[in-house]
Amino acid sequence: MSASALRPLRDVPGVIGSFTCGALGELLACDMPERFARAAIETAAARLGNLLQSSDEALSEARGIALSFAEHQLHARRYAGGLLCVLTEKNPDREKMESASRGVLAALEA
Amino acid sequence: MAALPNLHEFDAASSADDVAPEGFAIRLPSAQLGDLIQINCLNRVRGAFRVSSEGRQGHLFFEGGQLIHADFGAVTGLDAVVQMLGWRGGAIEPCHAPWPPESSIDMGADALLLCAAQRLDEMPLRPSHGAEDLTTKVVRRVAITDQAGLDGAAGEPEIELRPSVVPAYAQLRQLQVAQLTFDGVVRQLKSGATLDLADTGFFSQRMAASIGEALGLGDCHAVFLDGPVEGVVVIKGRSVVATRGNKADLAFILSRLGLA
Repeated sequence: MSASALRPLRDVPGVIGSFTCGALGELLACDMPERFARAAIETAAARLGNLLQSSDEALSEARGIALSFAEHQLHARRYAGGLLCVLTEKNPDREKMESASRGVLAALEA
Repeated sequence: MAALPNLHEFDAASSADDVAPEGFAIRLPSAQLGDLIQINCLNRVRGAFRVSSEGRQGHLFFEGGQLIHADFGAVTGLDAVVQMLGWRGGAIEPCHAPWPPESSIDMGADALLLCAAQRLDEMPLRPSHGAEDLTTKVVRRVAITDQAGLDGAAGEPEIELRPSVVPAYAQLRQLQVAQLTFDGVVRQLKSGATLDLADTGFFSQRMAASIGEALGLGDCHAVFLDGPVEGVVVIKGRSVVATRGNKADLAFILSRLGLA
């Protein structure tokens, strides 16, 4: 899978980068700044997959997860092939992010 | 809403006699004490407030974006907040109450109001007092060392805040709540919350922290698990609070957390 599918998210104000991983957390494509090492992203992806899987016990068919940090947010959304994860600043343009995510998900599922 | 100066700044400013009290007297028809707590925490107000109603009197102490202490007679902490939240009318104003030597409340505003709202639900119904006291609460932000200012706010401009400015904290009562320590010890389960919610909160918070660590993002202070109808919000403050409910009821919490 090419990282080019994730490119539309780059244009969203407040989005730092994105990646997608399989249901078990294996990294499929990545469009993150260089300062994030691939190993770190793979670790995060695996843990996100684990977290979402376990959340199924609390919520049937959990659709996604959002994590809030001091200066960042990490949004993960389920799709047929796995998870689309978007790292943002504290206050991203949610409307544009939603729109771009829909387009990226459509491309990933195609 | 514009951020208002902290009360300790008024202390310094009021040392000069020619400095007029800053801030507004605010009349909020139907305002709730929970609204004041949220506003003061949001504005990181530092100061003491006297809450009075029908001859009863309590105090709230704010610092660093949190309500750190509350007292009502011999009752302190969350118990005092719960008592005062049950009052239906009265006044709230800054005061000179001695600063507490230590904090009696170890929760952030959101967690505090969640717990207090659940506790209120469990309180016995109040005896009837005849006609309901629906008097307007008054929140005065004036120089707390200037007693004349406290008593003479009538000439100051009044502003009315639309109810939508402050989320209706009564919505919190609809939510299941599990509060636990960082070690996973369950402190409270409210509104039908089960140990499953506590487990979810504990695991989510731990896993989110490890994700933040992996990416160098620091500690994670909130997690939202998004289901088709319901959601779970896990907030990490001085304890871990997991809240489960309809997504519409969670919306304002998510908004406060910057996740919506």
